[in-house]
Order: sequence, then structure tokens, then C-alpha cells
Amino acid sequence: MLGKETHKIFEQLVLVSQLGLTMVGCIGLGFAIGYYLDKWLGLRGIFLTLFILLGIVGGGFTVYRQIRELEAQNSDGSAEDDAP
Amino acid sequence: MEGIGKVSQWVFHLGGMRIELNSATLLMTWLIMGLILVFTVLATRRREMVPGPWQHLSELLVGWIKDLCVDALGEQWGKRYYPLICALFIFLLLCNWIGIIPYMDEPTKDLNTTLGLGIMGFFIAHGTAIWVKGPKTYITEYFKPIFFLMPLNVVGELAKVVSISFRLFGNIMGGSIIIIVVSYLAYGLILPPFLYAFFGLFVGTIQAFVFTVLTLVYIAVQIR
Repeated sequence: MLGKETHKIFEQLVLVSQLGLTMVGCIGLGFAIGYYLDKWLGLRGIFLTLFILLGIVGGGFTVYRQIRELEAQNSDGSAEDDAP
Repeated sequence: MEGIGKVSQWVFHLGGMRIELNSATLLMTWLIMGLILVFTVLATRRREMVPGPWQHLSELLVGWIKDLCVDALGEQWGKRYYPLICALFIFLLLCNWIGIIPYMDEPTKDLNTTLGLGIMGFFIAHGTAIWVKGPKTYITEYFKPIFFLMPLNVVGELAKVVSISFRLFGNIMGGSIIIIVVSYLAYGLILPPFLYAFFGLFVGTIQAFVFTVLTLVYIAVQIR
């Protein structure tokens, strides 16, 4: 019904709109793991700090990887378009 | 206004354990599954070369999602996964639309539904990855590009579930709260029907599509 190019644009739009939430999701997940580990072990914020930091770095890295995937998709598409 | 944050539950005890079931979510989910079954029966009851309206609608929807899957996953995996993706899209679409009917609640307004679907997508994507690449290659990919980045890769994969689930839940929950607040302030005049149309139909369709495409893309990323 819609062309391959339109489907690709949809996919990329959806992925781009998800980048910010992925970052937030990583930090939120880090927070949750750290909070419950601290609560379980009776500590006062060590794991919370560690896992929030891990979430921030992990979020940045995941967003970077997703952008690389988008770029790779684009270059694959342009290679297909250039092919005779 | 008292409807905000209200969760109707069935509570019972089983072997010393307190079990709570969100009754509205369960009932609405079963209702939607029933509606999908009715739609399926209507669409496939009398299949003809010149299709009737139900057959035409289903062919249009299924054909479009099949194309989407084949484009994202390739011919072999696209054909294998399109029934799942199609079912997911239709289910989410009806879940988000059902809130426009008075006294009906969207099951996607409950985090349990969206998180459940997100976890399902996660297991499907990673199960497929293990099947396609083999367990050894699958595990070694977590240690790329450098071995100490493994925790970051794991957190990133787990965060995908959190982010897609909370996105759908937040959008639908936020929409319903706005509708309740504005209806209360405007005494149900003029604005609420437009809000229902916007949050129920428009945002509902967009979010169902986004969730479906993200699940598809996460499977595609694992296969590639």
C-alpha cells in the first residue's frame, strides 16, 4: 500500500522519537535497581548512586548505538538506490 | 475528578497470598479479544474474489502490516512474524480506542498491560536473536565493541522495555486525565468530544502504531 521508502521513514521517525525516552528509561531503570538493592542490603545510597551513573552512561551509549543503526540503515538505503 | 487514579480491583486470598486483579483492565481486555474474534469471523466468513466490506478492511490492514514487516525483517522473517505484529497492532488500536465509549476504560491505561506487552516483545526479539545467531554469537555481541561495555549494553536492552511500555502507558493515562480534568472544568460542554477524538482516536492510533513499529524494529535490530 505504502512504498518501501515510506515504511523506512516511519521506522526512523519512530526510532528518533524514542531516543529521549530510551535515555530516561536507562536512568529510571538504574534508579530502580539501585534503590531496591540498597533497600535489600540495608545500605544508604551506594548502589543508588552507582546504578544511576550506570544508567546515565548506558543511556548515552544506547542512544549513540541507535543513531549509528539509523545511519547504517540510511547508508544501506542509499547504496541500494545507487545500485544500477 | 474522583475518577483519577481510581483502580477497581478484585482481591482474594489463595494459600495465604493476597492476590489483586485489576478488574476493569481484565474485563476490557477480554472484551477487546472478543471484538477481535468477532471481526475475524466477519472478515473470513464468506471470502470472495470481490471482497465485502469486512474482508476488504481486513485485507487492507493485514496487507499493509505484512508489507511493513517484510520491509523491516526481510522476506523470510517478515512472513513469519507478520501475524504477531498484526495482532499486536489491532489489539493496541482497539485498546486505545475503547476509551472513547462512556464507562469504558482503556486497558493500556494500566501499566501491567503495556509492561506485559513490552516484555513479550523483548523475549520475542531476544529469542529470535538466539535462534538466528546462536547463543555464543548472541552473548559475545554484548561484549562489543569493548568487553567492559557489557553492563551498558545490558542496561540499554532492558531500558528498551521500560521506555516503550512507559511511553504507551503515559500517553494514554495522560490523555484520560486531561479529558477528566477538562470535562470537570467545562461541565462536559463543547471541549470534551474534541478531546476524546484527539486523545482517543488520533493519539491512540499513533501510539498503537509506534508501539508496534518499535517492537518490529527491536526484532529487526536483533536479526540484523
